[in-house]
Amino acid sequence: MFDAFKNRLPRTSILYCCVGSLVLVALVFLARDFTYRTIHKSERTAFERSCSILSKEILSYVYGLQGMAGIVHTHNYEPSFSQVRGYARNRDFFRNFGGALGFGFIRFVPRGELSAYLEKVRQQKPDFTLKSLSNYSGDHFIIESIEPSELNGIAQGLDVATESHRRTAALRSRDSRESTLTAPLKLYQAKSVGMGFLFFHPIFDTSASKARFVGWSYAPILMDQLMKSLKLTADERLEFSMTDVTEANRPLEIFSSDGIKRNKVETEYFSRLKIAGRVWEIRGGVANQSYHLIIDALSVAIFFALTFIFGSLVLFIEDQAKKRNDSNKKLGEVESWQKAILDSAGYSIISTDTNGLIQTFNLGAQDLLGYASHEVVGKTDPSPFHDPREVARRAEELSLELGRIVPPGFSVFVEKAKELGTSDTQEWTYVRKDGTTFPVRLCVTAIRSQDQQIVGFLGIAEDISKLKELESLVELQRVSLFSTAKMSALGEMAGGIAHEINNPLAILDSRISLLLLRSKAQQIESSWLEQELLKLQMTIVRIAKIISGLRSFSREGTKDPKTDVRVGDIIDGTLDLCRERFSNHGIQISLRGDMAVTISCRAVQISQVLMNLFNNSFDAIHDLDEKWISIDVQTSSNATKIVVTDSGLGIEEETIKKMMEPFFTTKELGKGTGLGLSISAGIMAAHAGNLRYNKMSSNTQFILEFTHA
Amino acid sequence: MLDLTSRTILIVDDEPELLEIMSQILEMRGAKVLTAKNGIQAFTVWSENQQVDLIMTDVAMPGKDADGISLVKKIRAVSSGKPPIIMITGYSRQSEAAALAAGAAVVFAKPFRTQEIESAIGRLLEEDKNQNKG
Repeated sequence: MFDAFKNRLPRTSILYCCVGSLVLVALVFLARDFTYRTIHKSERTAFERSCSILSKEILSYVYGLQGMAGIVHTHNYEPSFSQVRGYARNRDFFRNFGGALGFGFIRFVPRGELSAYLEKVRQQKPDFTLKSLSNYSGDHFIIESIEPSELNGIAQGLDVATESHRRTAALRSRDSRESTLTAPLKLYQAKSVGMGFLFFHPIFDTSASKARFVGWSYAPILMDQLMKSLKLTADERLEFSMTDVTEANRPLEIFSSDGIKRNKVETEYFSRLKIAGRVWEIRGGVANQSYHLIIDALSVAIFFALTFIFGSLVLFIEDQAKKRNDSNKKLGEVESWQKAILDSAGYSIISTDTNGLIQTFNLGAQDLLGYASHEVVGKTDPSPFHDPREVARRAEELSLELGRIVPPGFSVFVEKAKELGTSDTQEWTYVRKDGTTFPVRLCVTAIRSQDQQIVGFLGIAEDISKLKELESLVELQRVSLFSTAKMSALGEMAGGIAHEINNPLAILDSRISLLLLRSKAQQIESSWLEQELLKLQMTIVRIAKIISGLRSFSREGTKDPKTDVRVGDIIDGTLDLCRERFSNHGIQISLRGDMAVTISCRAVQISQVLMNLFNNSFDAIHDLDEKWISIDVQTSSNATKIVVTDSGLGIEEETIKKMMEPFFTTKELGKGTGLGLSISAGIMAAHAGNLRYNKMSSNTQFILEFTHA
Repeated sequence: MLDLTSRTILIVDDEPELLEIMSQILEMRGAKVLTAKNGIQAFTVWSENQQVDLIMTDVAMPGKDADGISLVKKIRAVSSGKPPIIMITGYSRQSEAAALAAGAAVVFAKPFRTQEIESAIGRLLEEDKNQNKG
């Protein structure tokens, strides 16, 4: 991945990453802010609810105070200690007024009546002691009773007027006739515990026509305890601080929770509470706001996660783009190669879709056919490049071969390739744009998709006109070689043939001389003359036969149709060309077997084979003491054989191996072509027969075998 | 006009037709004609008829040592000058040369003109006669 970053990330991607990261940071911050705002809103709600609960709690004490006032009233403004205690107990004090330390009664004792009051009280409670917090010398506000005494006993007898906060609040309560709180202060009975305040409720004796102020029911409230007693739910359990700001220039702290003290509240909410003559400013919030860490950590985590995802995405896209780019590039390269191959080939390469519509038409095709690519691609199938007559002919041939109708047209070119599954190569005639034609070897391949569906065809055509020229040249040379070999065989007998003709010519001349001689001597009888003339005619016929045999032998015989010919005629015709020669060399010719049997053959070619054999025999035996050639015709139900045997004593093993090969000869230079036996063997093979040497014979023997069809 | 009266001529040829014609021609000229169809037969005929004035023989004839050249060689081995021998060949100048070397007086190549042979016979017999006189 990092390697990928380093190596593959192009500048655009870095840009994407930067911009993306900035957007991500903004998004994360917005999300974070939103989260905070949501949290703050819920915190504020909780805070405000807490404030409201606090306010209600404090005001609920008014009932307690009124109840206490009621006791005072009921007991004619002189409640006994036990009566006060009873009330406090009846009110289930601690449950209902959890924040208050107790309820009590403070007696208003005008200045100067203190002694009388003390005396009266001490009748009931002898140890009642007056306590003061300063040397104040005004009216006395003396705590007469306070319950539960176990907690508050120490405060009994305290003259609360001796302290300004208490006095002020008490007086305000009397004057406003409202329940009134003191400013925050240290409670006398719980100095070390923390701040608290007193809650005064004025009591007037209204039984007389003019109300007489009696004193106050009161409750000392300890802030810590109050806070504890508030029935707050978990999310309302906030950190608080309360400051009395009734006198704006002299704020007094009432209460501060641990969290506030330790400065652990990050987000504080403010509220002003006007309650029982006091104005409290309440600050509060959630302490130990670990969610900050969580949110921030989450934000960071989300940021990184998003960055990672984004980065990966960018990388992925980049990678894909690169791959696409690479593959495009590779594809481009491949295409370049293909184009180079297509264009450099001297071949015509044409591809078509399945319907034959030309898709590509390479340079070779353009050169060979004379069409420009744009003239044919997407416009036509390859038919215009073909000779319609040839296409029609092939259509017929294909229909026969495949056993179904192949209509003349594009299918003629591809049907075989489709059938074969491989490529089909045929020779065709291509027609150039200018109408000229040339032969091609066209290889058609069906192009298949991976699921073997044919998606198109590819035709690669090679101009074979040069090849054709060469082929015809080779054929020409082959034929001429063939004929050379034959003429050579004839040439070997040139002298012999001259003799074949010379001899009858000599006979003609001498017979004519005889006739002249008789004529001069007038010794000619008509019957004799007639006989002589007939003899002359026969001699001429003999010459004519030799000449015609010679002409037929020298003629090209390879394309003659096969005909049924008597074997004897072929042998005679051949011997006519060499009889004199053999006889001149003392070579005896003997014929055996059924000369009337016929074989289907090209007589000239068989004559050539025999001539070759006779020549070989002649060369082999003319110097021997014993000179003969025998020709035996053997016929059976399935073959006719011409067995040629001469007086030679066989052929050396080495020569046997090679004698049928072309250009092998044992004859002296210039005498033999080395082609006689190989051509003879070829001729016999073409006649469904064979030419073989019979090793088993004691004399040299060749057998021409014609198998019957 | 060639006159071969009282002359004996031996003709050797494996071709019976030619043998027959030449015989008739020479007999028309008054000669006594002996014939043989090969060299061996001819040598026998010549051996038995020492009066043969001239031999006319073909070169190529079938049979071992039956050819004209062999015949000439054998006769010349016995009788160097006589009789004069005319050889007739259907082959090349090589065989002409061989014939002359063997002892033939004249060699004719086929196809020959019969008249020329007659002239040659007359001339050779004339020379022979002169030699005898001389």
